[in-house]
Amino acid sequence: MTGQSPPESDLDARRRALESKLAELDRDRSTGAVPDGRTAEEPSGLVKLFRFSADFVSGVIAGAMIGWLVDRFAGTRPWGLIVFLLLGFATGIYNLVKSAQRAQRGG
Amino acid sequence: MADPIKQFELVHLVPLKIGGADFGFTNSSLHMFIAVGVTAAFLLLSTSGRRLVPTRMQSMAELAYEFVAGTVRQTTGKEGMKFFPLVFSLFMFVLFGNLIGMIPGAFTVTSHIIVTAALAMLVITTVIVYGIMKHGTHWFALFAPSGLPKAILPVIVVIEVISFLSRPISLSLRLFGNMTAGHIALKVFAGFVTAMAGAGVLGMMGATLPVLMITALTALELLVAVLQAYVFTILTCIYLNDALHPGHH
Repeated sequence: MTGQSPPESDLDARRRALESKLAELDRDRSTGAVPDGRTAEEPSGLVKLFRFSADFVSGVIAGAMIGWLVDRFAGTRPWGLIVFLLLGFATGIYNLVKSAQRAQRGG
Repeated sequence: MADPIKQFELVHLVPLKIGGADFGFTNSSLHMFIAVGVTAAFLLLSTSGRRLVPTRMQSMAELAYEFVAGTVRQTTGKEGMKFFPLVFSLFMFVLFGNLIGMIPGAFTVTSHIIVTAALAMLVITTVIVYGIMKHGTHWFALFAPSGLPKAILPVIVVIEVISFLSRPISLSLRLFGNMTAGHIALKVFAGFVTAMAGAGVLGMMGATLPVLMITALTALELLVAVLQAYVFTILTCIYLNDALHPGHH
């Protein structure tokens, strides 16, 4: 460092400028925007396809598993499996609609 | 042709049986340790300098941090940051598990559904335990969306419960499916090369086609490896959001 220090008022102005910049960064942070202005990228079509198909299939599988367990412990074979498999299909569609709505809202 | 499934076979490196249960150290365990080790080494080495102007390595670590932190903040808000250690660990483990699997000869940890299912169960258990701890019985309002006619409420509640239980399944299925399918595709095309190369000069020339295909698929698989780690992370955040703010989703 050289001996010459800038006058007090100059330092003050610089500090204020820095503070406003920091405040701006902080605002970006709380909204989730990445500092350099990018937001999380829109997923590509392939990703969406995998995401949606897994949403549907998992509903059916969850329904089947619950139905099977109900049958096993309540001895209602085959009705639990039938009812919960159908409910599982409904859940699959329900999951799909929810994901599609979320995708439409952007995210 | 070589068996494309053989790459997923578990091999016991150190057999160990305790009370009939298998506690052996397998190639899968080894690669999990490698993934954790590489992650820890990468983060420790790259941040040891702590420079104001980051080096290339440090910048990569900061990028990973900023990326996951941004995702958590965006989907769960500021209070979701208390889950950041969990989400970041999951992201790094899945990412390095996927990427290490791309090294020829290495084992892909995430190609076994039991591994991805265990990760998904961890997430969903966190959601349930934290949700009930924070909101008590109010958390169960998650299963009963407001503003519905009373007549269809029972059906919707059942569907919501199944939908909630289907989440760990979809979370694990997606990662497992992507990794397994990709690696099988790679192996099948690699099998074509050896099969065609064995059929004379014409076959050798023809074998360049699957080699090109493997090159393209490898690039795609690298993309999928990173993308699936991201998808796993963002869905974890979406589910954690339910634990933090049940009711509005």
